[in-house]
Amino acid sequence: MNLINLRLGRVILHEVFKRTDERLKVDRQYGAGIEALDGAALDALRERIVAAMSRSERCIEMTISKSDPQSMVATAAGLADADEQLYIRQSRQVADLLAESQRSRAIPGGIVVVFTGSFGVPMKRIVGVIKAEVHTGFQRDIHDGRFILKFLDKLLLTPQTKLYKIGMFVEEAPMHANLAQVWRAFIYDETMTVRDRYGAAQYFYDGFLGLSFPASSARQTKQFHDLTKTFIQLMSVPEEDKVSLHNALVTYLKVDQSPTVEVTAFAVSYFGDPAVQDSYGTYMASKGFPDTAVNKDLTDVVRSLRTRRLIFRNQVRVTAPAEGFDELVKIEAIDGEPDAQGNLPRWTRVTIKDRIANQE
Amino acid sequence: MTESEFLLRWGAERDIYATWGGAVVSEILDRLQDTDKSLDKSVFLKITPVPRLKHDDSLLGKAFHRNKLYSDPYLEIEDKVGVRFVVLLASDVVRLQKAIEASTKWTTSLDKDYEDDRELRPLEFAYQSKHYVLKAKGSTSFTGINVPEGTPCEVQLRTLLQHAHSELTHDNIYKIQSGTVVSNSVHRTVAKSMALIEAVDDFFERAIEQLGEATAAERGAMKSLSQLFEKYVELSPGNDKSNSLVLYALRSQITPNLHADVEAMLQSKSFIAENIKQRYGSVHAYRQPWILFAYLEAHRHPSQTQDCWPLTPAEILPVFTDLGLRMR
Repeated sequence: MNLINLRLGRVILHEVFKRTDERLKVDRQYGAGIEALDGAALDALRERIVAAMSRSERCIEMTISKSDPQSMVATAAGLADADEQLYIRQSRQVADLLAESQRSRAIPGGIVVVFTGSFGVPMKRIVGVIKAEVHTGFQRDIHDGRFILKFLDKLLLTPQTKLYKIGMFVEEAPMHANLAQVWRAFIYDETMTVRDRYGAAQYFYDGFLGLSFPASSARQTKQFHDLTKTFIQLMSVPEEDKVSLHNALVTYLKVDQSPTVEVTAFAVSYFGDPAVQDSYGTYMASKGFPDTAVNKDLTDVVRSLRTRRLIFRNQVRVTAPAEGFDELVKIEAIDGEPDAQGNLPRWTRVTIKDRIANQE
Repeated sequence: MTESEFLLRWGAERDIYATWGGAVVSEILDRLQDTDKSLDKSVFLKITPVPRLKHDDSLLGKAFHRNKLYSDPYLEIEDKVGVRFVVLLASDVVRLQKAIEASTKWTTSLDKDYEDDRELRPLEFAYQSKHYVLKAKGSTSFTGINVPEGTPCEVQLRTLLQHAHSELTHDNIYKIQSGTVVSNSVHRTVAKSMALIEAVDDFFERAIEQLGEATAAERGAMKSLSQLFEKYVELSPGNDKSNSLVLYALRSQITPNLHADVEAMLQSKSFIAENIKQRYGSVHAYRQPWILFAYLEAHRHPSQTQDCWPLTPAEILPVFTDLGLRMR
């Protein structure tokens, strides 16, 4: 998502704890008032949120599946309209919801940052939650001219760690009767992987935020595949380079361990030239592909990913398994034999790394 | 007129000439500034112009001992006070000429013009300089001293290299007996160096011209960005070296539409000007016109902008964050 002109309004902190050995909830610690952040702190917080949510392969739009009065989206809607006193009180509900959904002892406690704000032109309201795990670090101090390392055991939201998750609700259609239609929901979770997509992180997006992966994932993954394929075809680079880029697309979708597909991530990994990265970004946006990551769902694209087809101008066709294509076949452009006028045509040398098994 | 009559009058009028010399310098500097408000005179003038009165001995020598055949040597000697302006380029000399000719405080005559010399004696490479005589138009009073109409002051305009040449030849060249073997060889060497100087002055001029052409797009962009900064941020834009670094690094994106594109961005995303205004006081980057270009390019070409960014990432991170963009 593109959080242009992100402005933060109220920010409040609460703390939730890991469950006891008997898997009982530990009392939350509620923040007493709104945080008064100075300019630099506010800028840093803004930067963390943008870095997490913006063109990030770990930020996905989700479907709001729970919108009852106790749900997170209902709480968020209340917080957006609350005055300061009500905000302080109602934001506790967020900490309660999180404590409730952290059922396993394996899930660590953490600081819950509840914030409101806005972004975009024209402006849209947002309500967000950050669950930041507390970690340790050091701070350099000077005492009597000597450096000393001061141990800090309550660090959070440092940019290099992946120890936070974000849920964000964006007010899209304020007049709609159904809360699930009024708000759009986005999550960021750096620790999410293909393997535990429906496992370890589930308490956060499902239990806590009341969200589920959108049904459109498979369609969007296919859209990503088709659009990217067209873009590669439109590029003005030699055909051999396009062969490698088509192979890269198959690799990105089938082999890469990322749980999502995302435009910038693909661009940075496979288009070396920053100018091409930019025009790919512009192309995908112009075709309406989301500016978030999309949950990687290969259902609709699996057929296209099975075979690679090369069609030559003289109607010769080569079909091959798409996976590991560059291991099976080698494609090179070569100079052909000169025609009567002495012009050199361009030919293609195809090396198939095996013997013929059958002929028709 | 005898030598002592001459000296008597000179003694009485020295202060008038000194005053006129000072008035001429400050008037030329004022008119020069008119031609370009942003001109830094301390850089433009390679030697500080200080009016000098001629010494008694050299005055008497010129008036009575050099076969000059003056009918009234006191009035006819017009360089009793003189001042010299030394600049880098021949085109700078022309700018000074324009400043001199723009003034209404004097009548001018060009007594020696190296360009005319070149026309008349194309095969000679000799002393080159422009000498003006500026005569007060009407009597005027400066700092309590009345300068009568027609009081002359000689103004010499030179390039730095012409100045170097005349420093070498002045006095020295006249000391040797003419017609001797030594004299011929020295004259030849001096003529060679003058020829070289003329060539180098030409090369300097050409180098500056080419440099100007090469950076024309960047300078045009800088002008546009400064104007837009003033108009939309409503604060005065800075002008430090970081501007040329950023404009040079992003020069492939400087298009003829730059002005319109930046303006359209500032109009459709009014928060940009607000944010710049807010950080203007505390962050150096937000006082520079390039910040507008950085917003435009971070928005249009995020990857390329990061890739060729010439300053530290910290300086453009807030721009990306404002635009809701992540830096890699």
